[in-house]
Amino acid sequence: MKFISVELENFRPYQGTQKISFAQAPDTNVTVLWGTNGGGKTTLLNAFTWALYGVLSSDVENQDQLINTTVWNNAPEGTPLTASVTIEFEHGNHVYIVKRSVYTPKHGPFQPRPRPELQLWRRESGGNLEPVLNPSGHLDQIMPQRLSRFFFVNGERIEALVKHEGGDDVREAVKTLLGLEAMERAIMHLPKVAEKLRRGMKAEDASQHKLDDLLRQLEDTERMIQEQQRRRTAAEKEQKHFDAEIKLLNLRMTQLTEAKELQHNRYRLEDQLKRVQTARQEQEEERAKLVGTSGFLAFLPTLPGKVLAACEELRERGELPAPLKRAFIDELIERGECICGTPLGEGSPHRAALESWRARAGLAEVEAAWNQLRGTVESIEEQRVQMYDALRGFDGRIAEAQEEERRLEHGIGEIGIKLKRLPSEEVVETEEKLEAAKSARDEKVAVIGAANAEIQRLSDVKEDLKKQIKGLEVKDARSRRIKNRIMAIEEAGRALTQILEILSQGVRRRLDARIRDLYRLVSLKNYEPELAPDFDLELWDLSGSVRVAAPKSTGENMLLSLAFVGSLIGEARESQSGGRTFIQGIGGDFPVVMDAVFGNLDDDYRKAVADFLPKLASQVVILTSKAQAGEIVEQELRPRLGKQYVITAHTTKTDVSSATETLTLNGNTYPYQVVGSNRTGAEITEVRS
Amino acid sequence: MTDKLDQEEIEQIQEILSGTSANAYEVIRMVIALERENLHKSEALARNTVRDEMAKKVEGIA
Repeated sequence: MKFISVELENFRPYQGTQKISFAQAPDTNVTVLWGTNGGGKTTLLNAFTWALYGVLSSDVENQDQLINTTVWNNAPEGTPLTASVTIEFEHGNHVYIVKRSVYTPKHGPFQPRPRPELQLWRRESGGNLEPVLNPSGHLDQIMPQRLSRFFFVNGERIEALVKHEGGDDVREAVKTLLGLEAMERAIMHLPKVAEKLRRGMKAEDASQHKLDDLLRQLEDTERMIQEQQRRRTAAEKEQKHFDAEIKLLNLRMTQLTEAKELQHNRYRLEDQLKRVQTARQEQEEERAKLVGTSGFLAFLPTLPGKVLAACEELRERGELPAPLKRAFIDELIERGECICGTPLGEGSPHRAALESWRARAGLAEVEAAWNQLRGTVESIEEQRVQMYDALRGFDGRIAEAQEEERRLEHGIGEIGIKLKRLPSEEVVETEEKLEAAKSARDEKVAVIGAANAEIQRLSDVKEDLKKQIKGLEVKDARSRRIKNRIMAIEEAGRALTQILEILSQGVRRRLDARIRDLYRLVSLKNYEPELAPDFDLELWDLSGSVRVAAPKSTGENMLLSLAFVGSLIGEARESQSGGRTFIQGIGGDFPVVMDAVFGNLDDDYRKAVADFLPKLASQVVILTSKAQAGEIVEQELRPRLGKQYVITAHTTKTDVSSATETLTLNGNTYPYQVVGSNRTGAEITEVRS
Repeated sequence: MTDKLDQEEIEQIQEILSGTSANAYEVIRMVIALERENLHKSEALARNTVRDEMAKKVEGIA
């Protein structure tokens, strides 16, 4: 997708018709719109989302007043008035024009609630415009609304992405991008289909009552599972909240001079504790695996001896191995002569004697089996000894790890006590808050654990009920068909659950790699970002011996958020060319429109962000004030600038202090703020090159 | 860019799908198409639509 132009007609502060054409060349892909604070930049960002989705951001005041107020106020009563935004864009080798407009005759001083109309056309090869049916559905397929916040970026809010509440937004964006929402919903909805089908089943007369009862129990169990899932989700959210608080408090502790050293020691011990716990869990898993595969050996202390003694007895009696081979007798009979030269003619007594021996002769297979059995039985004792040795090894290592864990936990506890004894009230207060947050987090972990156990138990009950229903004799062919359909639905649900997990983690891994690459390009610190398995954006400080959470400054937050946006755009581009066709996601090239990305940044971060933006997407539109951007941004962006516009702000006020009246760009001067104008509003002028 | 892990991902999905019965595969195909058509609806509305539509669509499964 590439924007060609946007045209505003009487839309909020923009009076009359005003048009912006966007830079599209790969090397000069940046369009900058310079506008003063409150001068119409955010309205322009909102013009995109309003035209495409009919929404304005929540910070837009008087959302019903879409028609320019000067136009509205000056129009005679009853005059038909209109406001519209028209965007021309290219997507998938087609040019589209989308227009959202409101139309209303003027009655009174206030505009009525707008009822916007949406139209979408596709330009055909001959140049004529063909209307597209279901424009809103079509637009949502091209650029889904749920992704819009990442492509139409409000710099003042994008930072929220890296805060702990941002995880949900990130997860949703990833799902939308990959088209996983449909799959996720399918997994949720398929059990409902099965439930509906089950209600249509009829059992044999005596079983009908039981079937009804089982169906009722199944529905109750399903309800209880959903209740536990809700409880778990709420606890997980709260746990995340406490985790974020703990991280912040830890960070705060490192910034307090008196506590710094102790806090670093605690970080080190906590890191060691995590490693020891992981190693211990691995040993426990290995031990469980060994018990699962070789545990039976513990119950065979005497059996091998008994088997060998029995075999020895058979061997002594000459029954094992067999004294005579059947294959040998067969060969003599076939040859018709014994090895002593006696003829073995048909019906001869010698032949009859041999044939009677044949039945008693041993088979080669029996011989082989005997040898194998003896080998196996003889090695059982050895295997038993080895298993006991291995178990003792695991037990020893696990006990050592547990001892080490206790030591580390004690050390961590001691640090907590020392911190609370420090004279600094701030340290003591932070430590107390930290303890409270940790204890609250642990409570939530316990709730999650209990909910998980209950879900597991109820799931087992559910499976058992399903088995009982399946086992009932159904009444007719129709019910048998229903049973088959339910089986197919359940199988489909299981397959989709597995596929969803693989795809989600796959895209998380790819995005994580992209974020790291992009962030490394621009970051000014030795930090490393991570898109964690739960889709939280984390930032780690790698400068010490232990990886610790990095302090997230406004500048680093902005870079991290932009790296995420860049990774989404990169993934969308890749998914179109990569042929991931099973699940139809959102593919292609996307532009990015950014408002207020330089606000509150220091000069070095402004420079870094300005250097980063053109690399973020194949088309970048930046809305900024001259004061926010400064000279540094202009210098950095200059080589990539394709188009520039000035948004001139008009105000009828005359007592505005420190207004910037003009702006000089490319050697030309443009009005920037017109104080004491005959109107209030905004006007767009293209900067001459 | 199809790296080794991407390839593994594709193979794992192929394996799951190839181990799926023809009826279940048909259910997957139908339900994904139906969910996609109803994505613009709220979850509750989509749930009812998919439940009712799928119950009819699976009638083709004997």
